[in-house]
Amino acid sequence: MMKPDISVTLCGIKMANPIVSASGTCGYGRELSQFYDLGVLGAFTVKSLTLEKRLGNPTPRIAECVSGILNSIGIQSQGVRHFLEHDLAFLKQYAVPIIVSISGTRVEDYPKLAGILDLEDGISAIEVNISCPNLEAGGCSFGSDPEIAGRVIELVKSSTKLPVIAKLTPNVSDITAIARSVEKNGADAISMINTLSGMAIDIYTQKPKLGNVFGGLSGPAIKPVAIKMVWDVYRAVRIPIIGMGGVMTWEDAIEFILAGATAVGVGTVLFRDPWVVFEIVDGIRTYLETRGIPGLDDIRGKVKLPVKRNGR
Amino acid sequence: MESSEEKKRDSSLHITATVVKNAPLCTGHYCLTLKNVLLAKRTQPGQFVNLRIHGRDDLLLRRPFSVATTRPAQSLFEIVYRVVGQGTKTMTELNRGEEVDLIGPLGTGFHLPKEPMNCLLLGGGVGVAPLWGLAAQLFKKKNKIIALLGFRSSDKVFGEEVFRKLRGETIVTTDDGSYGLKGFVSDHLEKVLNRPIDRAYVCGPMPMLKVVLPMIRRANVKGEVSLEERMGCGYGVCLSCVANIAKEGRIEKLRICTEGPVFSIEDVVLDDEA
Repeated sequence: MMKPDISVTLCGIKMANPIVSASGTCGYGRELSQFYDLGVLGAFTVKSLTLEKRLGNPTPRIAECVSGILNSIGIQSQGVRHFLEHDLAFLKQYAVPIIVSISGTRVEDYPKLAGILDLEDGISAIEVNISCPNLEAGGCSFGSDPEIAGRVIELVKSSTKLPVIAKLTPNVSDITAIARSVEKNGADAISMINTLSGMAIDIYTQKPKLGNVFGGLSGPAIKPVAIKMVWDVYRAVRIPIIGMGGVMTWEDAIEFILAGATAVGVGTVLFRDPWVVFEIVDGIRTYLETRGIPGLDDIRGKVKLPVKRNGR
Repeated sequence: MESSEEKKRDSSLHITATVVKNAPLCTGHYCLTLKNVLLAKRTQPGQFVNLRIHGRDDLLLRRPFSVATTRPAQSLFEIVYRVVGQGTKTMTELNRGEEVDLIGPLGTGFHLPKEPMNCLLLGGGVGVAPLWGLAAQLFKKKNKIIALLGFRSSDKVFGEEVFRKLRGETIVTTDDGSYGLKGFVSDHLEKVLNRPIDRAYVCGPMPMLKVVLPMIRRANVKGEVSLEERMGCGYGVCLSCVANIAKEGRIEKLRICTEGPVFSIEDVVLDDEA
């Protein structure tokens, strides 16, 4: 039987497989590297970097919900300089494309961060986090307005030669409007979705379960929302999508690809099982192999609809 | 067939342990005895394991438990858990011979004194359990043990015999006075601290820590405390379980799962001290 090709190319980044670690769920690589060679991943996305050091939000920062988790970390970060001095060289030892996520509280933070990263070797792309639900200022608010989202991407594009990936929030009424705007302003790819805004209350203490009152929901609970949004955006833009939201298994990854994703992010599942990446990658390969499908291009966006609908 | 990527994988922290015993200790508390040679050998007092709840894929997060004791010769280790939610409730149904999936040992444990000294072990509720293994190590190194253990009421008392067996002076308090001395451990701590204590080891709920840590600092006793917080991953990537720790004159948010759970008492800055 022929060996299927599970490699993908996403805005010029050649990935051995479509599985990307989601920003904020894998730090800067040191912790996962005690479990496996990071080259097992198709690409590694670092936790969002900020210009200055940030302490993040008060604890508790995480609460389990039914088939999901709420988090409000608030981008605890040592800042971009610390990353460049302490972490980038470590990550570069591995044969894995590095995607660097950036986050700001002001629009002008983003081009500044992009400009700093542009001077470095070994970074494959910049992911622009305009969708963090846990920042007091900025974050999600930039990603909720098509005009501001487009403006941030335009500024980042003018500050770097690196491919630029826009990370979108699902907490909007029409995600395709945001997607079209970032594409128009030069985004090379889209990653989606960030967490869904949520809240949980402990009925015994009558207090919110998170120190910051509300947070972002991730995990299998949000997967159908993410699949639908990826499918919508796939038909609305021409740039590739890194689809994510509740991926736990290889079956979930295939589902995202059928909805239109080029690559697939894994995040929350790593908290429970950091080694699951092996099973997901093997499962994707086997799925193609047993069906005689040569590569992922042959199934991308190919969900079989019951009635004829407008294609891409 | 082993895939080509398998050689890139290090699963030595991914442990399958066999249930040897899962029995109630007192009201709402269980002791789970597990068998795994690597874990029993490697785990230091104060380290923890992150346990996946068997058959409950809807519970996304593992549950972290301090390792209470290890018996390396028999490949055994014990964890003590309080039944508080769906995860721990499901754990009560574990039977002898079943397997559990865990990651460990994780975190930074207690540090033993370089030479024998008088050690105060201060535990509250389920926080008494991690002090078991510590007490055994301290005893082995010829330290003198004074254990001050607090519980809510007589039906919640467990584990005092562990310290007595190690020739430790053992003082038990209950909030309602239904067993041992009446009151919180903090009500009886002053008296103990007036005696020659060289080192304190503490594990218990936050309200207890808020009272006892300042008392220990005022008495100029050095020591360590094991902290607890809601955890996500347990291995350092998610930054959920942070604590305020003084480092070179500044407060840093350090990870309880990685830099902790055990921290030096003088460095810990509790929320209302920040």
